[in-house]
Amino acid sequence: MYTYIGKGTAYYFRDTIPNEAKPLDHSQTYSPWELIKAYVNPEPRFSMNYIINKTTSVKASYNRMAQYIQLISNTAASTPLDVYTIASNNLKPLIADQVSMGLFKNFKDNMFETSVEVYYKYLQNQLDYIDNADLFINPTVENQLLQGLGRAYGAEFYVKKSKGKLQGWISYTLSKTERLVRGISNDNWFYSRYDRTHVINTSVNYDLTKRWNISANFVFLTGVPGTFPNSKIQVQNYNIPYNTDGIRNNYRITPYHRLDLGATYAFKNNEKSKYKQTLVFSVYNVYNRRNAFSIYFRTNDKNPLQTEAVRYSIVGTFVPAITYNFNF
Amino acid sequence: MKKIVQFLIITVSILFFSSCEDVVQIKLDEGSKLYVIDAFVNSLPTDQVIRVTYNDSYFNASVAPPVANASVVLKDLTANKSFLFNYTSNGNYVYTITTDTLNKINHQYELNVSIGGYTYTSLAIQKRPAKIYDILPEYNDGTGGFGTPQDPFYFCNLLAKDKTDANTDYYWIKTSRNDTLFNGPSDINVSIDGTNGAVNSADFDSSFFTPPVTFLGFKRYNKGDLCKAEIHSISRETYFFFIQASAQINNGGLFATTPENVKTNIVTPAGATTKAVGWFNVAMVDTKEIFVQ
Repeated sequence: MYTYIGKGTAYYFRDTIPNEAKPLDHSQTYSPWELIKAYVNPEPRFSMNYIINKTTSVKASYNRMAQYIQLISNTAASTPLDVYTIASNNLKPLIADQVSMGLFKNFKDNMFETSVEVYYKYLQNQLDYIDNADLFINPTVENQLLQGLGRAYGAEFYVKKSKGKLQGWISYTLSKTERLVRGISNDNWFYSRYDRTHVINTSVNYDLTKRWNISANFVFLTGVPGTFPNSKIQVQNYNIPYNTDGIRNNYRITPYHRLDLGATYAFKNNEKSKYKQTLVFSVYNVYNRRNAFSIYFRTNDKNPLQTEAVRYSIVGTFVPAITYNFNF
Repeated sequence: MKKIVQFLIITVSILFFSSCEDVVQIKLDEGSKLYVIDAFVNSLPTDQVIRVTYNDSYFNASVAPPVANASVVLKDLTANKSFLFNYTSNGNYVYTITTDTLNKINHQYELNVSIGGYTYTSLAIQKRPAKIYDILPEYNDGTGGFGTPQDPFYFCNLLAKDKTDANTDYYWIKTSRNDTLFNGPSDINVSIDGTNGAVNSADFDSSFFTPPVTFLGFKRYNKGDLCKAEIHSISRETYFFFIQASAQINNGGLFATTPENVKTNIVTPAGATTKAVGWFNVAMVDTKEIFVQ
């Protein structure tokens, strides 16, 4: 059970057409501990594990979660300026139902662990915001917010080798995350800003000698969706980006991929000694890829007629590092 | 040791500065066609221009494709008069001012743009103007701030007054140097009651315009340059159109927000297959120019 209580002011808004700020109807001041709104949401959970034989099992689960604090953000990427808001008289809590099922099997005397899992998640009262929302330091921000549905589903594949000189794992996820909010994207399902179709993660390490161990990590992620303008309009000689279809998250930024390499040297130590020392040489982003954090659009400063797309990267280079570890 | 420190400093600097922004080529679909009606008319006794164009591909660096077959009429509904705008070129429809200027406080105007049998309309009220008293040049010897000293230059400061009463006024300030209008992405200068508009100052009306809007964009002038300022009265909606347009034009960096379509006050008639966007405002203008001495 969740209660939204005073002391404070609650704002009440009138309905309007979706994607417009709702006009204020009235506000009401509440005294300390006075109930403004209460929500009761049971959160049932169920999980099972069926062991077929020594190396094979099937797991399944269902759970419902209610979340009373939600992130609102209209920035193109996640930044420290994201704003969180709590469930209130205007905003219902987020309800998420998730079912998942997985098949787990080990091979070769548990040398290889493998699994396949599928999941489906259905979300209600997910927060979104109207076009041109003013989300920062706005006491009546709730009139700029919309609530809708969300769904996410996909499959995860995983293989791990945990014995021998060569060890490591690889995982692959195929998924889709979408939203449906009245008033946005012509009332159609649109990609959530977190949607990534393909996600590959791998990590391998190899014992070269008794002292040297080398390792490599590789990640590949489909670029997240973004809303890109497909045209521009000229008003008073200003070039203003314009999206004629009104579809949110209509494009994707370029895929993210990165390879990291490392070599670890373990110092010879006295068998009686408790101390352990290692030296790690590593290179982050070996092939120096400028992964896009976001893509934005601007007018060229020197030529106001020229508009251009700009890729913004946080780490624009490879990063070598040396680490000395001392365990005691 | 010194060399190692130097090497480290250089390495760290490269890491910090080798990010972060690259202009990239992206393939964007061609959007559907829209009419763009750019109708900012005013009380000045000069040719009044309304521009009708199509939208353009985002990366196209040419002037917007013109719509040449429109009929553009501006109606003063209060005085029951019509002004016909004639096509010249580049999508420009011009009304040549005779004795009849558009200079009537609180008159209501209707814009009619007819294309292909459909009439796109919009309404606007001509708001009262602010008054410019002077433009004051401010000498700067060029040695302040960081970096190498520069040649001396001048800033220009606007001395203007807003009407002091309970009504909120909205203004658009245009500045030019030697007849070249400052029209870059960061040059949109709008104001509420002569303040910077971060807060609605209707209850805090100080009459004189206050910084930063009075700095006229911190542009630099040399001795002998012509500095000209115009204050256009705009509607509340026009003010927010400029705020929104400015946010969309200057939307970049780490804190870039999801692009949004700017609003329009042009009404597309029912049944028209091509939508119109753009903006209509009728302004009263006060203007002043000085030679920087």
